[in-house]
Amino acid sequence: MSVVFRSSAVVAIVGARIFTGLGNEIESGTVVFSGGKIQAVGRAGDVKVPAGASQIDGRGKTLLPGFIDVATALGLVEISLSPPENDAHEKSAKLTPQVRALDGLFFDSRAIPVAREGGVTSVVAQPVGNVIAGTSVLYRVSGGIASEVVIAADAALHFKLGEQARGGDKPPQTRMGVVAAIRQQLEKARGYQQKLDAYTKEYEAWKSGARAGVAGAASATTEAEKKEPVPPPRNLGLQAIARVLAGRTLAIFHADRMSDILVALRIIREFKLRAAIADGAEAWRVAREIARDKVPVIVAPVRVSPSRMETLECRLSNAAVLHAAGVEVVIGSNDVFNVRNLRYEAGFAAAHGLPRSAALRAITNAPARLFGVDAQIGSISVGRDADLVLWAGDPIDTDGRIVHMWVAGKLQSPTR
Amino acid sequence: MKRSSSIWVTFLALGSCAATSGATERPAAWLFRGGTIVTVSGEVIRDGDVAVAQGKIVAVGRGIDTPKSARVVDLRGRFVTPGLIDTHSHIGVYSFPGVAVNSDGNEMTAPVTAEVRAADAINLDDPAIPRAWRGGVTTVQVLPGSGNCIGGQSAVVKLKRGTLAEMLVPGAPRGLKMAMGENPKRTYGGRGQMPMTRMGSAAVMREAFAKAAEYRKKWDDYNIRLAAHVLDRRLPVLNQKEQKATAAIAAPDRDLRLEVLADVLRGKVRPHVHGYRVDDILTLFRIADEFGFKVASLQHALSAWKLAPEIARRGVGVATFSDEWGYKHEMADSRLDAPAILHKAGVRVSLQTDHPVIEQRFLVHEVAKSVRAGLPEAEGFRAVTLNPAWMLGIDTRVGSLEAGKDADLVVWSGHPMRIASRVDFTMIDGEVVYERRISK
Repeated sequence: MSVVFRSSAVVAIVGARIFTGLGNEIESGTVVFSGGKIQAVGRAGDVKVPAGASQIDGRGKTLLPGFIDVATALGLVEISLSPPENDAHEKSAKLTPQVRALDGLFFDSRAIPVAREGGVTSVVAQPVGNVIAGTSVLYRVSGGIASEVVIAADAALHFKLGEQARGGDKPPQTRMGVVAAIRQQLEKARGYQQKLDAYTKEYEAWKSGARAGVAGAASATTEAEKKEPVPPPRNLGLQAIARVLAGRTLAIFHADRMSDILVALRIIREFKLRAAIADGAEAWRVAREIARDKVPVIVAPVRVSPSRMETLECRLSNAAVLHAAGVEVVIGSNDVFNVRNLRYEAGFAAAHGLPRSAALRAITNAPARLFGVDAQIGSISVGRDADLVLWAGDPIDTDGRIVHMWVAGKLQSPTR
Repeated sequence: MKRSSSIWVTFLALGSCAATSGATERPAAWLFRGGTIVTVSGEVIRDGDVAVAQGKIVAVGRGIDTPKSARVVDLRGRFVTPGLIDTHSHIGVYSFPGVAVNSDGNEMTAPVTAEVRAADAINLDDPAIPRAWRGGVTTVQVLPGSGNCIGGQSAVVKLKRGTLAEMLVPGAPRGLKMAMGENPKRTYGGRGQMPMTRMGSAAVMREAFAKAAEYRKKWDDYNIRLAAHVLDRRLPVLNQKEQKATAAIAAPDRDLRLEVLADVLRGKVRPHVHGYRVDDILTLFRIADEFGFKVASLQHALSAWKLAPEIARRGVGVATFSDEWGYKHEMADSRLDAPAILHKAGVRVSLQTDHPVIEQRFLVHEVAKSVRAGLPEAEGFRAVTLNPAWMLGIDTRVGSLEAGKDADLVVWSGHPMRIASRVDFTMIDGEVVYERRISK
């Protein structure tokens, strides 16, 4: 039997075990979607399949939201060891808050279809390497140009602490220097924002005065004659940081060593940032402190090895320990070419103590919430985009296989 | 089949000697009872047992008798496999943490450094070793890196805690690391030195083997003359002229670099060759044919599936990645079913980690991904046990669960290729190096 799908058609997946991404499961459920959006979700008996809908038999299979990988440079790196094909690291300076992953993204990357092989439907591609590396972009891996696939253009601003932030041939050279540079930038941005706010106020006053002058009142003449206020010179980097200070952009602190993680928590508290810790090899050692500050942690269990001084204490049980302490855990691939293996990262976390439901949430709803896009992606609920993957076997183990995959309601070929 | 208890007699007698001498307090004998035994060399035995004594496997089968002094492990349906083997590791020579001072795997001061030996640089305290036990890996070939065309000699070791001498697998043939393609070019081309191109790489290798052939001849001639001289000395009387002639037999100067390459030509050292692209593999075969040596294994070889019949014909092994690709141009031919294609064509395949590229402990996950992509499961087990053992020339000693082989084995909580399964025991030469604490 061959089924012909059209994106405009109504599709109903019937009888599958549904993992909604919100922590609950429906043993035998039905999902209906059309126009790229989920229209109905519920137990098979409770959801009416519209007449004329293409029906997919989901019995014996598991339906999940498309996975979201928030720790990759997918689309920024085509061949890592070939400099003309590696756009992830702006090495000209260590403070580059003004750079945007969006502007370096290669939408035809060979690695994008490979990501889909693992049921991944959205990713956050991030600039790497610098103390303040720039903003990441959240996009859908459906293939297509920016206007079609980008979900959030400036998803997060990335800060880096520890070994890879220090040293090299540019300042700062020590951990102290790294933290001082970050603080200085945050303070500068605060000052910049204050100047901008003052200017805006002045401008509004000037504008209303000028209007009043035009209206003809003699008393307004002096106001109208007053010179138009000059805005502070535009500084794209400080603007990007100011958005973080205002809570409009997420701040992600990449830190592995316990002490670096504590520094990140200090900065987050001090500047009242909406933030997450990423990498976090030793996060399990300060799980309580992280939980107390309610800061989510993005971990990559398998891809982190004791390859650096700051990761010597890494554990496959990291995610489990964090979760048990009450920390919101998100799992990323820390990879470019094998984003498809994100599900195995979740599998290893589960094998080492993370409850299965939390492991599945860590690659669906948890990252969507972290980036504030959970009203659009990351769960199977009414109104969400139809990023859906139907699995045979265990989606986070080696026996898992994709039966069907829809990205924004369009049937995708999961393989190259 | 019921095994007679006589198998224990010899071994336990020895065992009690060891115990009384205080050499060890660990049990000398073990019985792993009632699990799924993946023998690799033979059938998978359901509800089977494995008996171990004095560092050797003494019996594999069903219903093996329990001697009093043996520690019995009730498998309750768990799996037992041979200890896993990896032909491509840099454990110890790129020790954790990967700081500059621990970078001992690439002697990138000349494109040919056959004289250097990985064995001389292995950090016995590499934290990767105890982590590898948690992945059931027991034997690896530690290779020099691929920065040079001919990088140096490998060491085939068991991942035991102890001295290097205790780690080296007795009788393992010597191995030599060679590298084709991008890496040596990147190392030396960047410095304006040869090799800057693939042409240069091939020329460097040919030049090295041409010199080695001359060196070999010099030594072979010397040895023949020496042998003749020894015969001469058995003559009761030498005339003056003859005495003068024998005194003139002086040994040629020893050149450690050429000595190793000469041993490659003599078939005493096995070349394990890093390379990816089809043309690199064919260039290697051309050089091997010209100088008359046999390649033991192609390493990485992501394009090898395109040459499967040729590789099969030559009897060369392929050790490859499951899904690594993308970081170099020469990795473009990667496909998940490459091991399956190679196996079908009759090539002996093994999976590898290239530790620390992929951490050593995840070897089983690598093969699991290849099995998922079509490599038959039995071949998958072979690809991390008997096949790598064969490439390394140690398959009579390790790589399968058979009586008489070294007691290198792993107990898995479930199917070894499932992520959800954990390693419960890792045993090397009859000693449990790792036992998982299981909280109830």
